[in-house]
Amino acid sequence: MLEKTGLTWEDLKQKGGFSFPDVYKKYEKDGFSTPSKKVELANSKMRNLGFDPLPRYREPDESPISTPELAKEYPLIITTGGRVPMYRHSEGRNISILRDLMPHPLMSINPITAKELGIEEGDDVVIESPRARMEAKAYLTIGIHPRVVQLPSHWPGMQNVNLVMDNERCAPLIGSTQLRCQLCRVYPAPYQRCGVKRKK
Amino acid sequence: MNLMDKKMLIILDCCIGCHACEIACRQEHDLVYETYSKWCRVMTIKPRQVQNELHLDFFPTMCLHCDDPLCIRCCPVEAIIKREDRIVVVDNEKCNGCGLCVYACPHGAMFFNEVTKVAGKCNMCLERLEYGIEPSCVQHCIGGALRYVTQEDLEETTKGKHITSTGKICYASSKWRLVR
Repeated sequence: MLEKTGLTWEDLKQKGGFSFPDVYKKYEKDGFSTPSKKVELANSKMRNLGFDPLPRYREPDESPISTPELAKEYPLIITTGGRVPMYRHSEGRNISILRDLMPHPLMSINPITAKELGIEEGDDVVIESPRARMEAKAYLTIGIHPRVVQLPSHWPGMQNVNLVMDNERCAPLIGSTQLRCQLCRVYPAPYQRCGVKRKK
Repeated sequence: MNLMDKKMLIILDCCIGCHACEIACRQEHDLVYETYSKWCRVMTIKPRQVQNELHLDFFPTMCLHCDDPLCIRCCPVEAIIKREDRIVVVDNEKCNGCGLCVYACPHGAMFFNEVTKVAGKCNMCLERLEYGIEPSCVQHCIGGALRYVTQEDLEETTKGKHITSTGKICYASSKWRLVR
């Protein structure tokens, strides 16, 4: 382990530590860490493994275009992964002053869609996909497309967005699951929590 | 330069809505959840359409340290005072917890602390200023929206911007005209 540093164990103990010096513009001498040592717009490693070397657009497995029958039943498109500033991934939800800022997961939905579905600001809603259901609170915003709902990630229990997401159809090469573009339908929850009164 | 004579400058263009000032304030003054006090808050003005453009704004709110504070006028035991450096402070020893000032404040900056049972509000982190460091919200502001500056710096920074100010706090925005 010490061979690359050129130090002996005694030297290291005396110095207390060692860090490799920062080298800038390494690529001018050694090239990039690709098989051809160049910037590869077409990925040669992917080509050798028998995959398309270029990032090409492919219609998602579930979408109003690729599965129009399913889209009649589940008209809205889920996207997830929008971040909030107070939490980092799933951390910080048990800190009361942070939780105070966002006590519930908020589903962003366009007011036009919300009006059609009879959803008001702060209502408990159920999001149902072909797989399962989850709960969230509605947050009406015109910053989102009328056919799309944005769901927050990393919440526990019935508010977990992974419930409605597909975990079977993965990317063939790297195996990551689909976290965006799934179909769902949204309706107001049959009961409303936290004493929020529903207007008739 | 004495820290006490500086002014708080809030540049609304720079606020990114991270709520760091809010958390910093609550940590600095031990405003746990049970106190129901938020001396510094960041209001989110939701996305809205203005002349075919979408706008989303954040608005840090705190005590304005008004020039003629209504909380001082209504306090029956004279627990709230305006210091010579124009900082309005609540004297915890004198406060009897009647809560009149909470209703008197037109900006919603006064809070009744449910743990200590006295009124509380932003005091510009007086202990920190006396110690020689700037307020906690200013130190932790990520976007540089909250600044604690001298009068000359303030005038230079806000040149050409819409401003509204009291003796101690100045809001500035290049996008919106501010009305108080």
